[in-house]
Amino acid sequence: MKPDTRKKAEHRWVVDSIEEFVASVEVDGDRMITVPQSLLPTEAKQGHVLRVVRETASDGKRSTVTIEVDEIATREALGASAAQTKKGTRQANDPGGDIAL
Amino acid sequence: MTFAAVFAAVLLASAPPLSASDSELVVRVLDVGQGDAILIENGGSRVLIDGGPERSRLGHLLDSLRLNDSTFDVVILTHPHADHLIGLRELFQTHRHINVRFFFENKDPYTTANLRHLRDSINSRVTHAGLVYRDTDDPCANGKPICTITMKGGAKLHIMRPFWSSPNPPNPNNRSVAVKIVGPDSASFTMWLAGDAEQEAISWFLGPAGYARNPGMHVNVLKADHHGSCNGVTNAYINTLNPDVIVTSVGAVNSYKHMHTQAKTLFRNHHVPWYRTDQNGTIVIRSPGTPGGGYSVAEHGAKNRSGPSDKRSTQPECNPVP
Repeated sequence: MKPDTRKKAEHRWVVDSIEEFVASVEVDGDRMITVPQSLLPTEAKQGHVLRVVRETASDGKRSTVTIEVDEIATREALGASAAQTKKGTRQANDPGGDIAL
Repeated sequence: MTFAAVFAAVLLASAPPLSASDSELVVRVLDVGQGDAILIENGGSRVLIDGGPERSRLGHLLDSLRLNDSTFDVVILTHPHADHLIGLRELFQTHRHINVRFFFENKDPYTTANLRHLRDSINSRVTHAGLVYRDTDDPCANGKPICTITMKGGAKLHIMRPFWSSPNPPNPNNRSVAVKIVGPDSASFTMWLAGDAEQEAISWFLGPAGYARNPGMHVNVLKADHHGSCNGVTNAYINTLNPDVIVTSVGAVNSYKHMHTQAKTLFRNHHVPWYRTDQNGTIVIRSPGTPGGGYSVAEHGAKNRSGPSDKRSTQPECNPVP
């Protein structure tokens, strides 16, 4: 894989879980990575969408990474998720009850 | 005796008895790395609880177990964390031709794209293939807190409504659904699995939920909650479950220090041995399902092993474990 040589790059992280000071993070809607919790904003919690911006100096020798809780994106993702499952509504073709396979 | 009772008695008398192979219950705690995936088969029925952390890893297992072009009668996602969820996406890959009849999960809103993609696949099967999609908060879709699934060989699964609290909802681990497996001969084999439930949910199982009375929590085998984390066990939990053996699904190299030293110490103090997928590989438990048939755990190495990531946890709820 070639290194990302862009001067500025933006990523969407989602905090999937945090335990033992380690966060499991979904990167750009796909792969999972683990990062030290200490790299995240102190208010970052499970389920938060994070906006991650990396800016690289022109000589390529220094990068600044900004990670911030994206409250709007988090609210939007939760709203879309709620709409997707329609929690509390019973499926029309499910008669309910115990199941004999 | 009523006509209906006589008719039922005649039917029972004329029905061929289940053969040993029909009634055999096989539970495989699959070696999927740092995550959970448990395959349960009985009499031709097939249930999968969670799918592990990687699509490719579950995919290889589907291939090696020859489960493509097959039916999974029931799939249960205990809670929507990636290490339980992502592998399940592989079930819905078109080229696998896998039919799923019932899917259970808590339907809680959550923000990851992997969960969104999985739910897209489920919803598509609801629309086009008649999949029944149930909420573990209402597992029987009739308001009852416990739903029972009877497999073709006579084994049963009790699916129990997970913990909830308000105004502060529990963390996703504590929304894990608990499942009790009961073998065709209930005196021979029972097993308790509760995803990544932590101490708060465990206290609720033991107390307000009343699961110790119904369906009962005394079992032969416990799948350790939360990959052997010390926040997934209490002394009261082990006293109530009173398992003969514990199986832990855990990755050899993980960032969370699983299995925690405190959990292993507690298991030792209760004289309960454990197996673990990172050291023992896929753990296969068989019960013939016949009266007095018991059960066996296929051994791939010694009990009570430690792994390279095992360490002591500094979490307050583990020092000490209540």
